[in-house]
Amino acid sequence: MKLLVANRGEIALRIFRACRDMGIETVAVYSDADRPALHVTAADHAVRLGPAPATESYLSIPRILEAARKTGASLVHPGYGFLAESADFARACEEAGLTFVGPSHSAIEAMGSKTTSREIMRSAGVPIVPGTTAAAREAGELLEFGRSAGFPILLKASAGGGGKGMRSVGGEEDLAASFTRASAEAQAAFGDGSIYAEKLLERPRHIEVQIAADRRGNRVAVGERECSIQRRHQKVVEECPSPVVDPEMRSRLFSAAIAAADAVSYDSCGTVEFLLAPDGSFYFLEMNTRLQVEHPVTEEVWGVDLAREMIRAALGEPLSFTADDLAARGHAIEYRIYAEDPARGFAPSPGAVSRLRLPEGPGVRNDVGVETGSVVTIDYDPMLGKLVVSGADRAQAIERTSRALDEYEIAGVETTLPLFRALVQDPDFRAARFHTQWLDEWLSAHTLDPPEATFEEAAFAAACLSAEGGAATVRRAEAGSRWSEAARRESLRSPLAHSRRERR
Amino acid sequence: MSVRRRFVWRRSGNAEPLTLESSDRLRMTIRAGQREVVADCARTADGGMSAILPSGRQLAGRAVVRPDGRVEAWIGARRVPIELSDPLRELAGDAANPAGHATEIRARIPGRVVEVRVAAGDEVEAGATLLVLEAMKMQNEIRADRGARISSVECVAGQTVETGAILVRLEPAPEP
Repeated sequence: MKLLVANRGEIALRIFRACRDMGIETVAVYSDADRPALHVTAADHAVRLGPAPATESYLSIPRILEAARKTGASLVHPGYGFLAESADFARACEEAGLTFVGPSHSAIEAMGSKTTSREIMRSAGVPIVPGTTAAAREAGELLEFGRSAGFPILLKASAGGGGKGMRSVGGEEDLAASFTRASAEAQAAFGDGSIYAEKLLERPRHIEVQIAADRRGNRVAVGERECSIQRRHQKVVEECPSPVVDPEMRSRLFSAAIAAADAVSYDSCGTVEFLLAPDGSFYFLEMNTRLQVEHPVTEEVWGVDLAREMIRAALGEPLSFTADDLAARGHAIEYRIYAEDPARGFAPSPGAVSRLRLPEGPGVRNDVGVETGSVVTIDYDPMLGKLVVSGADRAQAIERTSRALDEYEIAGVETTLPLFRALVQDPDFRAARFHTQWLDEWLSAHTLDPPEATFEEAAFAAACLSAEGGAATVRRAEAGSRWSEAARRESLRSPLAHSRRERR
Repeated sequence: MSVRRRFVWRRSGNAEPLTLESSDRLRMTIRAGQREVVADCARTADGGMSAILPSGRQLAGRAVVRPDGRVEAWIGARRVPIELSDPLRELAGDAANPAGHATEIRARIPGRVVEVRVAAGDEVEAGATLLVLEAMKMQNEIRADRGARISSVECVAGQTVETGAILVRLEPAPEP
């Protein structure tokens, strides 16, 4: 059996590892930019998709299906990003006779639309953020809602995602202007300018529940994750369990998440996201119908292999556990390592990874998609990998994070590691006092420039530059060419030269 | 082999000389102003360096000269912001080619060539020492600013060179 991963980087490697555990052969696909990439060299089979731009490679459904046909892969895993939440891709796989490792295309479709999924959740009795259901074409349609729910409210694109077409409105007087801008943005981004409104939750936390399900109707909630450390709506640090969810709230969250999954007959691994208000009420945000970047923290705490469960489910096998089998143990925190410079407004930092030395020791897991010499291009998401640190409790996980970050050597590209080194020292982070806007506020109040070198450090640098051999090496012309020339002549002279060498 | 080098250390807007001396390149004495430290140095297996200071403090890491001439220093996993320049590197100037890299390494002040470490045809990595030039009583290593092949060496050890003399010619390294 062969499984094709329609993705790249660390998530392709993560899924390949699950395949190896299960005795399934691995198939990589790649663009021209990724020919020497780790996900290709780690695979049993590899197929070129096309040029570097994702539209001609990792987003090309026909080319991916052709790669599956060519290699005889019967399973296709989309990873996250790219085609992971494309109902068209899931349907195309089914039509081509391939098994899509993910939920049904109808579940993907239902959860892909903000307004549709809100409607489904409301019918299923899952709490949703108070808001309008009909897509509005002009500001006046939302005025009544604003007055009854109370400002501030949040305008969102019906077709939306990624923060585009999103605007908060502080009061009635700002509604018309904000609506115009949000609608124009939504029109430009999605070709649909319709807008709906939600009550704006101030300082919410992002809590999500991991769902594991199979094609026999079993659905289990595998703990929650806290993902409130975000930069401009993008998760940066995630942990399991949430430091603020108590057993009573956990059971309510699990029930709501299972109800959400039941409502779309969900039959794979997925995540139901909620916003948790400071008063303890929570609301459905969206459902991600795929394996998420942050799935490892759940795996570490709950002792399950989500990538493997997804493949099992796609093959029609039952979940390898029931809710009663599961027990949480300790705490895990994930840090997303991006090739971005946090001291310069997270500017992209493409380039070659000239040095990479990963941390080791108790509690450390590295899910990394690059190696020394890998080139980080601007063609794709700049995430290099994830550092996942576990401990008996949150305090120990943070202690071990400091240690792991001190061991983590990466040179050649700027990364988000300096941000994490600062965060783990921060009293609010250590006390888990944060919400979804906390990191953006923190970043505007802190600088990440490290202190200048001390005399001892300057002395050390000077010593490095003066040591025997200098900072870099010289490759001798004579030595190399003479040896290779001699070897070449030898092999030409005597056909026995090779066989002699082989016999040794 | 002994080494004497002088660097300029720029810190908080001030530039001060930082000198390094060693008779064996293992025990190095570094001075800046009134401060002095003796470091017991050893190359590490991965090409970095470990230094033990008189207090017993051990520092492990690496420093490289980047293609733009700036020094990038790492102690453990942390990059240490440092502005350290080698005045002779600035003095051994370049006739820049259109790509911005030196194609000829010239002496910008009079001096004496102490040692030549490369020969025509050698391939060097960025930062590799090409030759050692003594001037102002300091021995200074002239390094490649990029990976290159040595097309010719225009000086010999012991030779006195004048300002502007071509020391080494470089050409682009062949594609691997």
